[in-house]
Amino acid sequence: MPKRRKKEEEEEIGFVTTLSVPSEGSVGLTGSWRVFIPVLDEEKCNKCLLCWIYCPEACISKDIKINYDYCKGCGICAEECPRKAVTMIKEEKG
Amino acid sequence: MRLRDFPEDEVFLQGSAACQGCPGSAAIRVAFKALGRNTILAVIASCTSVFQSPFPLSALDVPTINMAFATGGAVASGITAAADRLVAQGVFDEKPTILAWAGDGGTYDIGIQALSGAAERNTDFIYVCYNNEAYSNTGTQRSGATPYAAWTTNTTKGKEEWRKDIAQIMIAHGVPYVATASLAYPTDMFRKFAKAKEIRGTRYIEIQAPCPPGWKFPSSYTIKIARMAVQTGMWMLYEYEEGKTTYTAGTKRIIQGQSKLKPVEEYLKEQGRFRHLFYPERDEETIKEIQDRMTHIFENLQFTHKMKEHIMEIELAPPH
Amino acid sequence: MRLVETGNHVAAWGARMARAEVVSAYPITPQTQVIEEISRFIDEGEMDCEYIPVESEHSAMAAMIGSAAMGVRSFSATSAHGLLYMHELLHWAAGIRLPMVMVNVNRALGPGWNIWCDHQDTIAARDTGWIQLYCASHQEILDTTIQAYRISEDLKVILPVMVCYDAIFLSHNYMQVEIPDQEVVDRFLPPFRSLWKLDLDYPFTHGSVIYPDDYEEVRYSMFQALDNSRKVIRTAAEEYRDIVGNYHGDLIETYRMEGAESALVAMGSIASEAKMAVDMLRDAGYPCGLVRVRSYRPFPIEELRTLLAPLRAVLVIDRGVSFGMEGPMYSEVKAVIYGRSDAEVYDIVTGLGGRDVTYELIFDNAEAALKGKLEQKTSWPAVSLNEHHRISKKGLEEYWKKEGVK
Repeated sequence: MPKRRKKEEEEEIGFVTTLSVPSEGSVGLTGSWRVFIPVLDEEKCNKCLLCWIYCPEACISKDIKINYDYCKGCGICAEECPRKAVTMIKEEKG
Repeated sequence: MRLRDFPEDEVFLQGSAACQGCPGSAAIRVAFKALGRNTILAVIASCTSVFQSPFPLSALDVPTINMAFATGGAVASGITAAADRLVAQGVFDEKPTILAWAGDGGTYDIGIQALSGAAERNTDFIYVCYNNEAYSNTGTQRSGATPYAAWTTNTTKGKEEWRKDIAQIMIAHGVPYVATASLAYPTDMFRKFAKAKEIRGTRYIEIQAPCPPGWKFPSSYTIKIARMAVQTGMWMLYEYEEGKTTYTAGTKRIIQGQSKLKPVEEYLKEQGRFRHLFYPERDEETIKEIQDRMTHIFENLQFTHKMKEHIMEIELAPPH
Repeated sequence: MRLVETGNHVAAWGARMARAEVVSAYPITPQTQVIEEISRFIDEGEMDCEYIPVESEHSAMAAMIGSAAMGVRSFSATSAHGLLYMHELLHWAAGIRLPMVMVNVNRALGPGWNIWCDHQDTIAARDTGWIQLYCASHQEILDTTIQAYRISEDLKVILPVMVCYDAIFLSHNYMQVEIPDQEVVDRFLPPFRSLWKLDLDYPFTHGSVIYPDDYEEVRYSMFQALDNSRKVIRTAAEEYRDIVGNYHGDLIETYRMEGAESALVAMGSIASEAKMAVDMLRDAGYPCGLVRVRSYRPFPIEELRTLLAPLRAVLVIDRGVSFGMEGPMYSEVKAVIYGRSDAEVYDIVTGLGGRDVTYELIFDNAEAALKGKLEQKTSWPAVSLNEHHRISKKGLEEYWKKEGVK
C-alpha cells in the first residue's frame, strides 16, 4: 500500500493522469513467484540462443545468464533446450 | 536471419505481471527485436493491457497508449495520420512504425469493424493479433478464434462452431501484407516483422499464442504446443503479398513433403481444453472430424504443390 | 471576409481557422456539411489537414484520441446517435487528458428517427468530463470553435471541448458571419500545446491498470481542471474580443438583467426566442431578463448564484429531460441557489424533437409563473395528442383488442 500523507499536508494535486514510467521489475521481484528454479549446466550449453529468445520474461541474457530476481520458473528454457543443459529444480525457500 | 543476429536490445522489461510461460510477452519480445525502438505502440484491451504492469510502472519501453477494446484499427488510424502531419511539419525525419497490438477478442469480434475500416482505407500501420483463441484476459470465454471442440468457460461441452479466419478476411481486403506466425518459429516471425516494417499501408500479422492457464497445459509447454500446432496443421504459417500466398517454415515443409503431417491427436491430447475428447471416453467422431479437415486441407495443398512441380518439369523438358 | 453561410459550414471554417491538422469524423444528419466542407477545403488545398473517413463514430473518437496523443491538433464533428455511439470514448478522451475539440449538432434521439433539434444528446454526455459550450448564432459557432482550442490546450485545463449548436436552426439555416483573417486568429491561438504525448525520446505508457488506491486522484485532477477552466473560458472570451473583435459572453450571456426581478434561463438557439419573450414581458410590465447558459460544463455556478438568488422568480427552459427526475437545467439551477434564495423556480420542458418553441409560448408560461398560476415543477406546456398520435393509438388499440389486452 502506498504511503498517504494526511490531508492538511497535501499540496495542490495538479495534473495527475495514468502515465506509467518504463521500469524493470515493474511489478516487483517476480522471482518470488517461482516454485522451480532453472539451473544451467554451462558445460552442456552451446549458446544456441533458443532459451534466450523463448523466455517470456526476457530474463535470460544473450550470453545466457539467468536473472533470478525476475525468473518466474516457467520451465520453458528447460523444456526447449536441445542439449538438456537446463534443469528445473524445486527451489528451497528460506 | 539467425538467432545470433537478433538484436540484444529488449523493449520488454523483465519483472512484469505476465503469467509464467505467457505467449503474449514472448511474442512482443520477438516483434520488437525486428521492429526496433522507432515505434509507437497502441495496446488494445487484452492480456497485454495487464501484463505491462499497473500504474505507475510499465514493462514496455516504447511510447505506448492503452486503448478501449473495439478501437485497434481506429486509434492507429489517428496515430498514423498525426505522424504524417509531424513528418510534414519536419518533426520526424523518418516516420515511426505505428503498431496496434491486440488479442483475438479485439480483432475477431469486437474489434473487427475498426480493423476492417482501417484496412479498407489502407491505413499505414502494422496490426498484430496475438491469438490465444479465447478471451483470456476476462477468464477464458470463447471468441470467434476459439477452435472447434475447444472448452472455454462458456463452451463447456466444447465449441460447436469452427473458427473464423481473420487472416483470410484481411487478404480479402487486398492489403499489402498479411502473415501468420508462431512462437516456435522465431526466425520466421522475425523475418515477417522485418519485412512488414519496410512496407507501407496496412500490414496484418497474426501470431498463435498458446496460453497455459486458458488451454490448460504446464507453463513450460508454451513453445512446444506452438510447434505442435504447426506440425499437425492446426496453425498454418504463410505470408501474402501482391496477390500471392506463400507457405513458410514448418507448414511449407509439410506441403513440400519434407515433413509428415502429424496426427492432430498429439496436439489435442496435451491440452486440458480438449480433455473431454479423451476422458472419460474417446470422442472418436470429433477427433476424426478435426483430423479429416486437416488431412483434406493438406492433401489439397500437397497436390497443388506437386502439380506445380510437375508443370515445371514438363516445361523444362527439351523438345525432342 | 463576410459570408452568408450555414452553421455547419461555419463550424468547418472554425476548424480551418484554428489550423486543425487531423480530422476524423463519420457522417450523420444534420452534421454532414461540416465534414463535406472540410473535405472541400482540403481537396482544394485551402486547409493543410489529414481527413480520416472513419467507418463509425466510435472509431472517429478513437482516431481523434490517437492523433491528439501524438501532439497534433485534432477535430471532429458529430450529432445525436453518433455522439452516443462514441460515449464510451468520450469518457476516455477526457480521462486521457489530451486537448481536442469536437462540434456536436444537437439533434433528438430515436426511436423514431428525428433529425431535428433538442439537447438530449449532449446533456447525456454532461458527466464525461468534456467542457460543453452552447452557441446561439453562427458567428458564435465560428468564434467558439476557435476559442475552444485555446481553452482545451490551456495547461491548467488540458481537457476536450464540445461546441454544441442546434440542429437545423443553426446547422442548416443561413446567417451572415464575419471570418477573421488567419493572422488575426494566429495572434489569438498559439500553436498546439499539451502536457504529455507519445514521444519516442521519452517513452510513457498511458492507461494501464490502476488500482483503487491510485485512481481517485486521477479523477480529482480532472475535476480540478474543469474548475480551472472557468477562468480560462472567461479569459479566452475576453482575449478573443480584444484581438479578433467578437464577444458572446463567457460562461453565460445576459440580456436585460439590469433591474430584473425575474429571469428566464435557457441554452442554445431557444435563448434567442427567449430574448423576444423578455422584451414582451418588459413591455407588459414585468421586469424580466434572460440568462443564456453558454458553458453547461463547467456549470456557471457563481454567475447564476449571483444573478438569480436575489430574484423573485426564475423560469428555466429545458430542451432535454432527465427521466425519473426533472428538466436537467432545472435541477442544476435550483442546486446552485439552494439555501441562498427565496426565488420561486419554474421549469418548462419543450422543443424536444425540434418542436418549434415560440416566444409567445415562453411569454405565456413566464407570465403564468409570475402570476402564481404555474407549479414549481417540471411542466410540459406543449404536450397534447394530435391526429397523428390518434391514428397510431387507434392501430394499437385494435391490436390490444385482438390480443385481449385490457
